[in-house]
Amino acid sequence: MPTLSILEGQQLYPRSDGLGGMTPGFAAFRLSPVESVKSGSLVVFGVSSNPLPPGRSGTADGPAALREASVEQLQPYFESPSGSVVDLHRRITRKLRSGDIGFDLGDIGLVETRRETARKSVAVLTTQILDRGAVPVVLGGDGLAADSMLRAIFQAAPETALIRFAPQVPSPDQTAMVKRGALLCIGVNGLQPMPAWRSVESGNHSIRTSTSIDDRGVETAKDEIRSFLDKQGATTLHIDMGVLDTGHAAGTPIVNIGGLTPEQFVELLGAVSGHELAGVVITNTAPGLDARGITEHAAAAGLLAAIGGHLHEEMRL
Amino acid sequence: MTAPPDRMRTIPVATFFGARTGTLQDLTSNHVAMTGLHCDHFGGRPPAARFAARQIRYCGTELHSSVGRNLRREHLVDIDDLKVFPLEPVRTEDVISEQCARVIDTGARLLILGGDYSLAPALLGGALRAQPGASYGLLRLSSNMDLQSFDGERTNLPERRITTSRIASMLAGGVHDVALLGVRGLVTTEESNCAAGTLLVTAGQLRGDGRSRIIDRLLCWANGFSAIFLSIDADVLAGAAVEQATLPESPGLPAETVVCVLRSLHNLAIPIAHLAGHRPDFDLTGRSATEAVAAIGLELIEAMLPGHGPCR
Repeated sequence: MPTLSILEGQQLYPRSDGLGGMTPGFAAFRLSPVESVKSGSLVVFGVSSNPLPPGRSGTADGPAALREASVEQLQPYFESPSGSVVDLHRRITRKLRSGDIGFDLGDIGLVETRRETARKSVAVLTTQILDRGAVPVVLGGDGLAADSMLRAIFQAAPETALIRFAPQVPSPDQTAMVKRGALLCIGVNGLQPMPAWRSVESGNHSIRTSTSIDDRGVETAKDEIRSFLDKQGATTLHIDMGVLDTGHAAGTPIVNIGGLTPEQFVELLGAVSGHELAGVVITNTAPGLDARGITEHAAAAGLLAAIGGHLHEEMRL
Repeated sequence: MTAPPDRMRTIPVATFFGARTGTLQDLTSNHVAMTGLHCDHFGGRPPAARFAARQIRYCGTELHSSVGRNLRREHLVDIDDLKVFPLEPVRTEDVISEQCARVIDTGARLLILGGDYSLAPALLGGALRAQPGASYGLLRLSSNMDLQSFDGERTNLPERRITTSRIASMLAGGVHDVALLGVRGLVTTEESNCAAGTLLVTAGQLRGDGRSRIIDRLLCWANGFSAIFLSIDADVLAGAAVEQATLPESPGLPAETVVCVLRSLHNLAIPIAHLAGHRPDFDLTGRSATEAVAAIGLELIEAMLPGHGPCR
């Protein structure tokens, strides 16, 4: 298997499609080594890790599933001879931006037996991408990818704000990472540990539960996200797919009853589009647990909605 | 052939909505003939819609009993599945076309359940062969236009993506004889341009307040034809019946909306209809999608039954 980069003893490699070919890069981005990354671009890499027991496994297949689903979501662009599409609902025309808007570095593999090494690799790679003036987009994997990537980002830029889509509030350790920036937790649901809740509430932080989003409507929540972003500079986005309701999207190790619907999820992430992003990490997509494929399609659609401002330009019809 | 033992004769068989089984000889202009289409792999989607006929037969029989509808079952005949040659697309289209023509020749209406949309040109081809003088319009409920350009040559796109273009080329007025209802999401600019002559109604418009005005427009359009080829793809539905997430900018239709549209069609002549694209393998949460599709099938039968809209 061709190696794209060697990093801290870890290999980054594109995944085989099982037919002798390689799966396409996320959003059909070019598979490249980190040295080719250009400033201002989106730089994707995957972390094929499963949760430690007793967590349900399957997230190691997340990066590959997200890549495939992203290409499927963008299929109308690729089918169009002019590369442009019409959004019938919003009455706009969209065209993918030309040039090197994104790169895909492949996956960090062999995570199961070398979690600590993988953790370091994620941090090193994130730093390398940030040093090149690009935006890291990490496809998990379990929470390992998020922990390491966020630490690297907050180390490089402590003022960065964080929007976190997850069913749980972050642990006090994670909250402490957001030292000078603000934190917005979206889709929190169910029982939460008191220290974690207090640690979020005591800082410059806000929580929007999935119940409040249901009660007050998605548009209100979108306005809140936009008004949060208006006060921030570069913002990091952490998407834990466990935020989705299990009845709608079962492909995640977390069981979340009363979570966000895929429609709410994608729409809320669309509110981030166009804002300056410091980095994006998406975790806990376990495609094997969702035979209908709703979870990876919702994940890919949400991610594409969030980075839409980087990906395409829009024109009113 | 040896006659089956009595025990075998009494085994109940699941048929579409509890209809009796029959052959071409049993069909008259008073009948709706129902058949399954066990073929879906030319369309470019993972195969699964081929199993829809089987599931609707099982689910539809129970649904029919449970809802207690006063369906005039004496008008319904299950004529078994259409013969197909799964490895030979051209031969499959020919043989499907031939079989459809023979059914419609009897004067019966033909309802095809299962399979995918890519075989719809063969179905319409059979109807046109049986009724060469008829002026057909295509009324399609689907989330996709499938109007990619078709210049008489097969392209490298999945067959389904050019199917509406193929059908339009068979109709006298081209795309003007096509109505597309329930379309949503992103379409290529080229497809959007091709749709300029069609009657196009998005899913959002159908879900909105102006549905009665849309239906009036639709009926006005349909009255320009002597017969309607009605094609419903399960992908028009929201959620469970489709294989992927419905996006917020493009949510699908509830089954009730589809049923509501079908109820408005009772005075049209619908000699042939196709209920395609339902993939029961993806209905893992139970039978909700199959029941929704079966309910749409029941409504289709109502729209096609004699007395509602005689073939002109």
